[in-house]
Amino acid sequence: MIKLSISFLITIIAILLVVLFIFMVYLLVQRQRESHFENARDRYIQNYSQLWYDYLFNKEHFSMVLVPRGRAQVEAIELIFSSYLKNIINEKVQCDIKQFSNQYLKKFYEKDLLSKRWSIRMNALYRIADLQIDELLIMCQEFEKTKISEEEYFQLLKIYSIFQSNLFMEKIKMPIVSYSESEYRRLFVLLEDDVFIRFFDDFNSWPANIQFAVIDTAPVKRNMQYIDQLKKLLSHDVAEINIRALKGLYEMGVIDEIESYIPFVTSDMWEARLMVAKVFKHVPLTYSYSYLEQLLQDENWWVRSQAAKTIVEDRYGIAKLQQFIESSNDQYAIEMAQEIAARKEENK
Amino acid sequence: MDDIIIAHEIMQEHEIERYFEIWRESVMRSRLTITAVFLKIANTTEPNTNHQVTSFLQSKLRKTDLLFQLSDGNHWGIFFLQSSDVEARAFLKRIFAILKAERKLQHIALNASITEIRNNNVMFEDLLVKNKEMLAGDEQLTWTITEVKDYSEQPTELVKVSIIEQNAIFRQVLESGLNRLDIPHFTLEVKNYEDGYSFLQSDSYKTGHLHLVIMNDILPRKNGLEILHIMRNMPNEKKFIIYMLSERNSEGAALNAYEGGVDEYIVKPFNLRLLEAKIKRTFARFWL
Amino acid sequence: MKIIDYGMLLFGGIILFYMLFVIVSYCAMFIIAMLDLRKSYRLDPSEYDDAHIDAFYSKPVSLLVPAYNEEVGVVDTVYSLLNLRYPQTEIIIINDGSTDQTLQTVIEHFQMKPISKIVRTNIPTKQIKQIYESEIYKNCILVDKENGGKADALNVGINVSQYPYFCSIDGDSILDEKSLLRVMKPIILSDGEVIAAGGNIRIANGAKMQYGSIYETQLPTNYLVIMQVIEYLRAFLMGRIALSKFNLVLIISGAFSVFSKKWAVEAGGYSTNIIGEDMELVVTIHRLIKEKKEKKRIEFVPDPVCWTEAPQTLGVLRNQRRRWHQGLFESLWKHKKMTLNPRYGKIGFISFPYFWLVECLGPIVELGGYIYIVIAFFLGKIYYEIALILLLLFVIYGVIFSIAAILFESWSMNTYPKKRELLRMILLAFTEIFWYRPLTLFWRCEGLIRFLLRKSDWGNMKRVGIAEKEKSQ
Repeated sequence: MIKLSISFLITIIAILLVVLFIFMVYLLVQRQRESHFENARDRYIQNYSQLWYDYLFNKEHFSMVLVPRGRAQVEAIELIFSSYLKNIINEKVQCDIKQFSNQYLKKFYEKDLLSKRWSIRMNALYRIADLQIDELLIMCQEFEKTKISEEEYFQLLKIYSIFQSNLFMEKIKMPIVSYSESEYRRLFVLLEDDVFIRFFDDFNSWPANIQFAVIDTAPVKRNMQYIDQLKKLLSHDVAEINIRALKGLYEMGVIDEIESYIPFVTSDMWEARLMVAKVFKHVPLTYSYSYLEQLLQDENWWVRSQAAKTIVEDRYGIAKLQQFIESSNDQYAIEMAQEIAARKEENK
Repeated sequence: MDDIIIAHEIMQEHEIERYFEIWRESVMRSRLTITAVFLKIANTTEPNTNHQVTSFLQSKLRKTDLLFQLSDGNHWGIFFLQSSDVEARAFLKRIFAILKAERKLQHIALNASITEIRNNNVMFEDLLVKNKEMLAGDEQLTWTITEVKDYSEQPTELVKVSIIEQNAIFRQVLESGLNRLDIPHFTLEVKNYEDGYSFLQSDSYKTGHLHLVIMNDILPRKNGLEILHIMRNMPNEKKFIIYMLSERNSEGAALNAYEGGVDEYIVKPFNLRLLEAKIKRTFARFWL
Repeated sequence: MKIIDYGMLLFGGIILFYMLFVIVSYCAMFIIAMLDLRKSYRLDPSEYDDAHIDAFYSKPVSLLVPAYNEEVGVVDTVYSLLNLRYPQTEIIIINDGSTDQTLQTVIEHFQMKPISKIVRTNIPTKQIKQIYESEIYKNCILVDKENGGKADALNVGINVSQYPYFCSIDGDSILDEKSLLRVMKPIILSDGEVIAAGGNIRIANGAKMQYGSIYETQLPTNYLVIMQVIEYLRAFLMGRIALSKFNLVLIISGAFSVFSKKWAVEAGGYSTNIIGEDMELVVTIHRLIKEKKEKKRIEFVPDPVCWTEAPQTLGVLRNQRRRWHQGLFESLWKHKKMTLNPRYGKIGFISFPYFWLVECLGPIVELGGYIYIVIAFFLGKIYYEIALILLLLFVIYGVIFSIAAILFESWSMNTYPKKRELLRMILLAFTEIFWYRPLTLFWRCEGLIRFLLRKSDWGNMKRVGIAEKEKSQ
């Protein structure tokens, strides 16, 4: 029995040794490949990034040496392009990059989309969106029909939102996958205003995550037309939507009347009271002081703190707070007023 | 006789020379243009004219302008501090118009010459001689305004430019862009650094030159905010023009940067042409 | 002789059976981790990083740096936090009544000025002496408090913090510039379903570092440290990835972890009367989740990296391991009711038994294995052959997991180790079983004994400094 088990153990040892050997060879080979790849990539960047700069920014002629040969050069070009796109806004450059990518990089990403590896396909989808390779749109629609992951579908939605907003709206109405708020924000932020505003038309038909993301994205778009839309939502039945709409209106920073906001001073939700204390930053203190004084004596610490901060931002705010400190007998509110007033004095 | 205005004390040529030498140096140091105007009566007929002219001119000057009389008695000089020839010319047009309109002073006719001074290669004596020559021309002409151009050449100032940016490709873009930038009267000496530490090691920020710093807020080894703090706490911190580039799009980050003393906080991606225009405008403001 | 034979057979059988169990569970973890890492291998992370540097997509985080006698390391730690690519953070350094120059060093370096600030007491703590604010960085705060231990310092930090998430970082660690962004990724992408996340800890010995930035990494020369490098890779990249996949993580390293403040406060913050306060908090939160029947997760994320200094001498290492193991035991013991309790689901049925059997009792059985081999070696020919072969088997199996961990590391970092460094690590891995492993096993058993002996006197346990590692420098 022991004899048998010894030969059995030796077999296992042999197998393990083989596995070990394979791992090691794999690591060594990969290392070799990696450094080759990196060398080729860095060489391209070193040799041609000046040429790229001259072509894109100094309107010099395009040289055929810039056309990539092989993966390493594609990656080098990706690095150069992304350095430009991330740092600089220049329509001509964007346009040239788009044109070049459509012409010379398309075939690489086309192949990547068919890859068995999820990460390779994802990278290709990233690039199609970043470099605006619109000639691959049809291919992307084909790709959608295959079995793809949620992440890939998300990238597809992003691509549609850039190239074909109608298609995007169509797709997003179909609740195939549900994404997080921050992901929806990423999709909405690039939409044109005339497309984005359609979300408000039938607001209640959207799932909560989309509703929230729409409200949060509206102020970022810095367009006055959303003020009315957000104000409408102040009377929505869902408290969370009211609060977010208040936040959105605060971020827009344009408060034309305060009647719509006054009910929230006595809201049951402390978050709503906090937001309304913030909204009053954009209202002259003469109109808002009586409400802020009420909020300064709120039971919630955050509300009190925000009310005091809002008051102190006004030119005569500190005087108002001093007055309050002398006349009030709410110890918590007085402490808060004192701290905020003291901080303001320190920072002067 | 109410048309005789009592002349106040007026500074004389020899008194003004020392002041002039101080101003001349501050032209360079503080980039303040001064303009000298010399006036001469064209028709010397009535005896009391000199006093009238003195009083008249004195009543028309601003507090930063200085009137004096040359030793020959029939020339007046005015130094306009922090003013270019444009303002001097406007002044002359105004007083000429008043003199022509005012009946009591109608017997006076003047000629004037303007000298804009934008460098320190000017001696007081030369200034007087040149202007006197200008005004010594044909006696028949009145109300002329001539110009001495000899000193209006602005010196070229060296500006150090430091780019502190981690991304090598973008650094190169910034460097090329700034090297190409043509700002009148300034030459840019562009250097780039990949992190905060190597910038601080270079010591180039310690010289007295004007120094334009374009840097990222997040940098390895001493980040932008710390470099900002170090520069703004130097005794001659005013020489720094600091532009901070950031990919952090948040109100708080921008406020912190401005409170720390940046001149511009620019969120990436930004328009390179606009940045260049901003820089040009910043330098254009240094001289009148 | 017969009795000895049967005894040896039984003894060997138990050990072999145990080893098989461990090997099977490791293999399972290995496969799960491999599938997970393989999927994201070669994925370009900059896409996510670049989008989420915008405050619009992320949530603000308070960074808590507890410091007890950290005058050497704390400035670098804070520099690395100032350099984080993250849109909105505040840095809260908590000086836990240090007896060295920690307070003065920080005040001087970051130009701290005293400010008045009311602190909400969410969690009761020791007294705060004074709060300072940096003149250079408006988001950098220093809290000076009376000594109360690391947990107490962290609780003060939680009270002072103003953001919904907090991240604890040891006063001798360095964060990679994108690490916070990436450790927050599961939290952001799950809309808050993930309530705590921990990152990967790597050993900084040998790396070149200045003002909180690592600019060149190199394998350290000290064998003890290389061994720890390998050990960390195995622990993080195999164990934790697999556990995290099924929401079974019981440990996320206190050196670098993010928590939702709401949940941490509800769990009562860090426990001050326990050694492994980081594990304790995670277990308590798990318990809370199950008791409230909420669908929340705790995750481990492999690519955010926190660099830490590893002990370079046996003495310091021994101290560390002893404490770790004692802490592990304490937490498990405190929550022993969760073991095999259907109320706690998978945590009770998988995590707890796994930790009890493999992590806790493992050292005893393994030590038994060593003893068995030694005895067998002296007992005669048959045993000695099988003992040798068993030994060889364990050596190779250990090396395979080590090299697999190196491979996983390459996949998750998208870069492969240098040829020389790889060979050195593999060679050293062959020797592990002869010195490093028995040593650490012994220390862990020591920790176990200490736990058993001191079980009754928790209250007046003498506090160990936050990081004794620093002594090694």
